[in-house]
Amino acid sequence: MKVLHFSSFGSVCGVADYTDDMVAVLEPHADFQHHKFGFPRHEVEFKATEAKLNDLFSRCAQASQGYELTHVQHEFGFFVGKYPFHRSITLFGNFLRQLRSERVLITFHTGPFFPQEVTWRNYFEPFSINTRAWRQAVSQLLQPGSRYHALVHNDFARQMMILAGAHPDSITVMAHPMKTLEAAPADQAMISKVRQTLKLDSQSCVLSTLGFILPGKGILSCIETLQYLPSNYKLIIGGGKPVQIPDSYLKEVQRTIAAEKLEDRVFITGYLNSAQVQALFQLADIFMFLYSPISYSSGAITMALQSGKPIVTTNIKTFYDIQKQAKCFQMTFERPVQETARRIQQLRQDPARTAQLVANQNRYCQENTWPMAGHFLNELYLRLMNAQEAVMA
Amino acid sequence: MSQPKTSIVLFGASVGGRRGYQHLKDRRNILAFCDNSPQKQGTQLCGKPVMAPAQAVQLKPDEFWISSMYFYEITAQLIQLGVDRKKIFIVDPSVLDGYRAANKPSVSATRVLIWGVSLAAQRAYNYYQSSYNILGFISADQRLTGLTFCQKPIFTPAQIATQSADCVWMPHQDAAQAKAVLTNAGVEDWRLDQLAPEVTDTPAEPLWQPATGFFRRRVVVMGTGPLAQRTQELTQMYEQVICFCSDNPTTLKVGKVSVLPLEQAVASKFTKIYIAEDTYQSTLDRLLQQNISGKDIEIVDPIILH
Repeated sequence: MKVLHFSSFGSVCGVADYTDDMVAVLEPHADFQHHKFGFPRHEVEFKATEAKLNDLFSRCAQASQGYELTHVQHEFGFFVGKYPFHRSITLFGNFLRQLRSERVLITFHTGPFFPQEVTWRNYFEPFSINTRAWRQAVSQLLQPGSRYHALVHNDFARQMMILAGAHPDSITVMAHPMKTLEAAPADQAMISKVRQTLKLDSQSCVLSTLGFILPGKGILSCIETLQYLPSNYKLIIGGGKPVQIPDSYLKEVQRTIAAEKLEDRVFITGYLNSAQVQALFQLADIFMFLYSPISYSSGAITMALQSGKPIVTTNIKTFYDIQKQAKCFQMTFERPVQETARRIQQLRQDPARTAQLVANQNRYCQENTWPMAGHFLNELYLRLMNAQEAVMA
Repeated sequence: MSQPKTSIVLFGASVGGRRGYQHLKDRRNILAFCDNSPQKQGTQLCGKPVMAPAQAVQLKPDEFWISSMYFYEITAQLIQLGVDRKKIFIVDPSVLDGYRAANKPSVSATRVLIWGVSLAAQRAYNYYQSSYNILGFISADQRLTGLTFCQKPIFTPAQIATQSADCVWMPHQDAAQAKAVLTNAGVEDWRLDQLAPEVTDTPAEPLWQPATGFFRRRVVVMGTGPLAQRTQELTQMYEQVICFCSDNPTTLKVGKVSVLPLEQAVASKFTKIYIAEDTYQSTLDRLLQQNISGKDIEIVDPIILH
């Protein structure tokens, strides 16, 4: 049987890396042959007209002819062009309907956030325009007996899908597997540069974020927290802004650093390659993921979990999903940041707790490797195909 | 001489716009709001005019700040109107986030129970209600079961398991006692968290919002001291104190308002009771035991005296 994988292959993009890792672990399983259909994300996002995007979708739909299964990777940004956001949802729904394979599996990397949207319109309408578009375009497909099935990364995303109208049986949860880190020697040039800029010494405690610099990722909260910590605490903002997003938030971060005179305590790395990620792992003492409550998933945290360093996260639903299973985070509140500062200091002074958290992280990583996810997915593919045969019979 | 502040226009004149305004007002010179809704154009928000986006562009502000979740579309719209994309900024969603949940508690937010029926618990509720899904409060006092506080139900520790909460928060003052009770009730240790003193001890602003409407609400104030009198002063625009309440009154009247014992005070027709006493806990318990709904009770925060 053949599977066509639709994703942003070839783009500098977390979803592209994810799908590459996924196909690599699926290929050894003999039940299916895997083929890729690349989607030029950065040529499309915010730029494409409806006609151009429809043309792309038609080509993919034609390519899916003769395949038993199409596995689509969904990220909202893939479908946003020069038209309103709700329109992008409709276009996505049309694309799914055009696919010609017997079954369609869609991995939603970000759950639909609309059910919790409250706009001024809600005083007159039960749902936001986005929710209505999602219900018509996507949720209608995710119903019992249909050829469509959804895959999400945590219970929270599943809950959002159900609230947006999908049937519970049409959704499977698979924990986000650990991102495969290329074995690369740590970038010594970066280590020297950071050490020099931040004037690191044996007394320093290096805090670090990891992932894109975007609103909602809590970068400003990290900077604010630093102000309540002694001067030997430094911060590395590990990552850059996504190429397709305007740099306004990055500028605000830079401006805040300058306004608070923290230039000698904060270092922004920009986009990190494998060697630089390893360098960051060497430099950091504690990782920080102070995401705001509207953040839904984090691929970057699966990298940090492999760092061997403790992680401080906000007490949001996404991280609770992992915490419930692994108890591997020092959790904190998004506000007040003074509390986060205190907890970081306590953690720093408690090597036994740090060791326990890291041990739990390592165990979680071993339980959620890509080969295990490959096995899980292969089983899911087989289950979907068997169910389809039963329906057809 | 200090540098003049950067002039900005805030895009989005909803509750999110108001939050954006609060967030930025000290750091930027906010000229106006703009909004696509024709109903809002021509009105005022936070004392600033609300105008159409095209009109706002004519003001030539140094920056545009988007205080809306539709920032992708709005960015595109502003660029189309000729605004340099380098001048477009987005208010951090964590600032905006509160307004969505404040209007309708977010189903996606972390589900929380707060230990205690106390001023500390009320402060925690007020501080976090906009960004967390606060399910209710926990009290070991069985007599309070089934009643409400801050419009949320009060549960016993034994009922926690049925609430599917992600975590239970404890004011630091009661943490030791709470932890013992909760652990005994089977709540896992990792679900317990201690609230910061910045939340439970030192709120940043008075905790109630004045009521709106065409007539003044009738309220009862428990207490006769300075806190009670200050409460009357602060609320008189919107609320009429029908009586003060004290079990051992040293005076029969405060100003022109009578002082009555508790049973008599709660028998009168009121819409809200303020507890304006330093030792509020016993009064709160007594009121709840009189079957007065917790949603009608508010503990007055002593911060209003400062």
